[in-house]
Amino acid sequence: MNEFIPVIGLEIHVQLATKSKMFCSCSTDYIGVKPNSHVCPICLGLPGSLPMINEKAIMYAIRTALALRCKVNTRTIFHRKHYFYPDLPKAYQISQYDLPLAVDGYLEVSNDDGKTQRIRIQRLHLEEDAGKLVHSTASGRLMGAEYSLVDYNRSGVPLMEIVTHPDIASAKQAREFVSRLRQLVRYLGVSDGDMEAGSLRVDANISITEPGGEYGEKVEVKNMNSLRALERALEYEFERQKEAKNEGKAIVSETRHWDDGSNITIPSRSKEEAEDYRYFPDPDLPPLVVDERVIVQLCKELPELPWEVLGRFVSDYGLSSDEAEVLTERKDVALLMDELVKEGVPVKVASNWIRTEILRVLNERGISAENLPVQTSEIAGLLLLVDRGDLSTTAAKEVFNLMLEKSINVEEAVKMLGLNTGKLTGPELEAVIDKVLSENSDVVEEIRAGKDKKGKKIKFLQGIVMRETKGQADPKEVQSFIMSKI
Amino acid sequence: MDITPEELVEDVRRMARLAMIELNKEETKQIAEQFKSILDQLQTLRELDTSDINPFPLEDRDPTPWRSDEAALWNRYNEVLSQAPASEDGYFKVPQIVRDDRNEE
Amino acid sequence: MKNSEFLKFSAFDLMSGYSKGEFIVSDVIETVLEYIEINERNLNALITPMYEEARSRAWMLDAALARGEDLGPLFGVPVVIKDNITTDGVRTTCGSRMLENWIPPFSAHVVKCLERAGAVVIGKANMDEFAMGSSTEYSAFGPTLNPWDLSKVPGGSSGGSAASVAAGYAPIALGSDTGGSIRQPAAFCGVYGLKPTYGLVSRYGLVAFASSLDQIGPFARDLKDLALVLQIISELDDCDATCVRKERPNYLEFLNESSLEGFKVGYLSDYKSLEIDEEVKKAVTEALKICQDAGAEIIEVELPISARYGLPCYYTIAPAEASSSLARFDGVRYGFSVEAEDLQELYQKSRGGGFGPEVKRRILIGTFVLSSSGYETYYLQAQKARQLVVKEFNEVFLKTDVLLLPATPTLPFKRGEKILDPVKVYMADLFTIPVNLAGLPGLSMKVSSSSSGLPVGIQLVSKKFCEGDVLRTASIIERAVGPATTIMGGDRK
Repeated sequence: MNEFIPVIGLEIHVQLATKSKMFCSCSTDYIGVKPNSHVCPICLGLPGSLPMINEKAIMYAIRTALALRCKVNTRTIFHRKHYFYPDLPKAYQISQYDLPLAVDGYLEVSNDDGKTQRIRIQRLHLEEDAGKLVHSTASGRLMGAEYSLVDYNRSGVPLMEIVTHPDIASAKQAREFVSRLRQLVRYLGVSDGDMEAGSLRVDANISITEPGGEYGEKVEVKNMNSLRALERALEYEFERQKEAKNEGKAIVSETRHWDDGSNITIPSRSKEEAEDYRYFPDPDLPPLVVDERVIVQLCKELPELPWEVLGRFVSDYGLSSDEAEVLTERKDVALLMDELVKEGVPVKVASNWIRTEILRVLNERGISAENLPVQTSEIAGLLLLVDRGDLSTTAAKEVFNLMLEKSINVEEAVKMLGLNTGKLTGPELEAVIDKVLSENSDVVEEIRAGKDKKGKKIKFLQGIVMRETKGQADPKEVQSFIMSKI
Repeated sequence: MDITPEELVEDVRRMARLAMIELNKEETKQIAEQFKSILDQLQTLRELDTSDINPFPLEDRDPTPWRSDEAALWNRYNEVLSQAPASEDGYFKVPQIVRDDRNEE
Repeated sequence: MKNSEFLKFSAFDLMSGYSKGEFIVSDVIETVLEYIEINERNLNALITPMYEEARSRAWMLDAALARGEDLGPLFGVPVVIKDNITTDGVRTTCGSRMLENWIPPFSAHVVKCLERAGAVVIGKANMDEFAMGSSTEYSAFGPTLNPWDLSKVPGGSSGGSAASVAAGYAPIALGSDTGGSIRQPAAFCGVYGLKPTYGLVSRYGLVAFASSLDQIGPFARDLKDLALVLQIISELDDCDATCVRKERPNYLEFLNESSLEGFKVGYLSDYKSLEIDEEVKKAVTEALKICQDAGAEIIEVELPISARYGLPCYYTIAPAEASSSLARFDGVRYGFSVEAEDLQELYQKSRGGGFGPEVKRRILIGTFVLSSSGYETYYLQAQKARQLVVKEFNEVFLKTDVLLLPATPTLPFKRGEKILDPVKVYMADLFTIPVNLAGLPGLSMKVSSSSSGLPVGIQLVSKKFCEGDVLRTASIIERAVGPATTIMGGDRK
């Protein structure tokens, strides 16, 4: 058997989170909106219309390029890319060709052996999105649909296209690359980076080669709508190509799409002739010139990048890289961590709380940490109580839930639950235990009679006590009291 | 560069496919003939030594202006569909894009 | 109260009359509309006369006039707009079956400027389809005839606009010029036609033909009118990225000079031996003498690159850009559309049926020179050649302020004469094309009449954004030869 390795390059389209479209003032907020209502002569390509570049789109793209360590071209031009398709109103897309906005950057991912590897970014450029098609088949698939419906709300939304060199060596690594890129664009605030919603789209080029051998025929894979789909599609495709090679068959350079239902890649409808896009510089748009000083300023204004935050959490907070990964996956969560630590919460406590309670709530409610109905200072206060031992973790969870539910602060929640933020200890505790033991005298008798080999009944009694004390007793103290009384 | 008449006709057909224009046999033939005389004229440009020239100099043009990122509603959007050759439920309508060649489905 | 004298008035004459209370807008508009109705049977200068719209507009303006309101700089002046410039709510066909029924939901920047100034749009002018042609014979709505001689063409592609002004439909009109489409018909119809510097006038609302060459410009019978319209339509527009952010001077002021002392006027050293009509040569000679008499220094220049390479350069770039601009006409969102079984058929039949033969020809050439097999050999080479044309003009303008050239090699030719050979038609733009390639301002004006009574024009060209130099020279010549005249139905031979 030959020792094949995959050679993967990715082409990622990132929808930019600007308010208006790339070349006109129509709103980019098109989800769930009436079809063909966020349109105008420009994004409809009506005769006589002309494009006008969105400043924010440029800034966002440069910001991303700088974070990816690209070289930003101070002079760049837009090209027209021609093809006929119903979602393309001018029958050309305004894009960039041989003088793109940025080139030669990289993003680091980890290898299978745990080391980091640089995946080189070939180019980053700006272009406009096309409209959306809805097909008349029951499945919504294009193939065989008797007719299709077109909505141009999405036409003209700014897209950032990022193309990597074929440096990616496995499906898993491809997944990680996209995951990291997605994290980056979210950290930078330039995009929602949502694959399912379509604001981050990935196409892959995959071929196989033997170590030291020549590159094989490239196959383009499209229609991977989640990280999982991406990984599985590339795994499948690698296997398919390996098998073909081993059977002595040639690999056809073609486009295939991933079929999530049947978990295979299928050749897309082949065209007799290759597309000839007839690129030429768009005469309606003079060269885009970005002042060096603007680039320097944007560089200065770059927020802390995800890998920088991760590094800081490991080095400054002494967290393990796994823990840090979870905490820095989302920018809003990492920010919360920093804030809690600033308020004096010990790192370990904050880290645990965030990774359990906070993430749960954020995911349940689908919100961002800034939108928690509770002040960070209040969360800090709660955690400090736990840290001092004044509140057990169990009790704290109850308090937190009440705080969230009613948007109240710690003090009010504690009061409402009738808890004492102090421990229940000593004579007070003893009194409760005595009560419990007398109410469960039959169980106590059984234990005394030696019928509790496994200690289940003791635990049962302990449980009742803990419930009665609303978790404010120290379990060890409870246990010793019970033991002594039995 | 000497192109044969057959090659010219094939060129015209290929361009007609790229440009999505239907031509009948007569039109194709006529345009192929005109192509020849026009392309001959255009060939004159090859006499020029253009090796040092940048076809798209960036320096002496005024840079493209930018627009600030503000969303605005174009309140005539309803009229656009009224001139659409085919529409349905607020969408533009196009006939079959891809035939299903496969027999299963 | 109608009065056929109105048809000869300049815009300034009309506005003077309004402010003096001698007549009102409706008087003028009624006269104009009635005249149009009669003459259109012969001329066919308008695709869409706007009787209703013009009448209601006149009525509204008269109400403002009666209230003593502030009147705009083009108050109550009738204007004709070439039919490739969008007018909100009024069909804009570009002379093509493709857009026969297209009603744009927005007006071009220049139309808005004119309307804000108080002008009355009275009709959309006939033109060669999608501005491709030099005779207005390529229109899907029938040819326009030359008012001076109905057997001759008015030139193109803005033939309808030029003929409208020459025939007295309106004192001013707008056209577009990509390779000579304002200047050549202006010469054929004996009126002033100006193609401004590329980037001076916004193209927003001009249905694109070749975006790096197109410019909208005015026609008039009077230089003052021409300058005024230029002033109004050259207002900076934020919607056109190629519209240059430069201060616009007061163009009317350039018409006050009475001498060309210290001014240099260049002419082609070999113009007398060129293959052009003798009358055209005579007109150039006459115009040069006028300039010289006014104190200008007459200088010989040469434009060998433009002469030999201008046409092939243009006929590579313009079709290339046209093939791109016209790709959007696919039968899906608007325009000519055919019932089809599948998408490909929809595209091919709609485009095949909606476009005329000249347009198809140019789209196919354009597609070819942009295709992967043609791009470097043709398109890139042509763009490089273009830089050489620019360089040549730059060098010439170090020696001279203005160039005085023929506008077109021939007198107005007979309808049907050239249309069979497209390359012959292309030659009509020999002197105008290089000016578009270099983005320079060019003005066409009538200098004399031929022995057969046809207008003979010349062309004045200057450096970028130096419309003033061109206007100044033109006003000196106008002083000597008199302003352009209308040719009314009854005057025709």
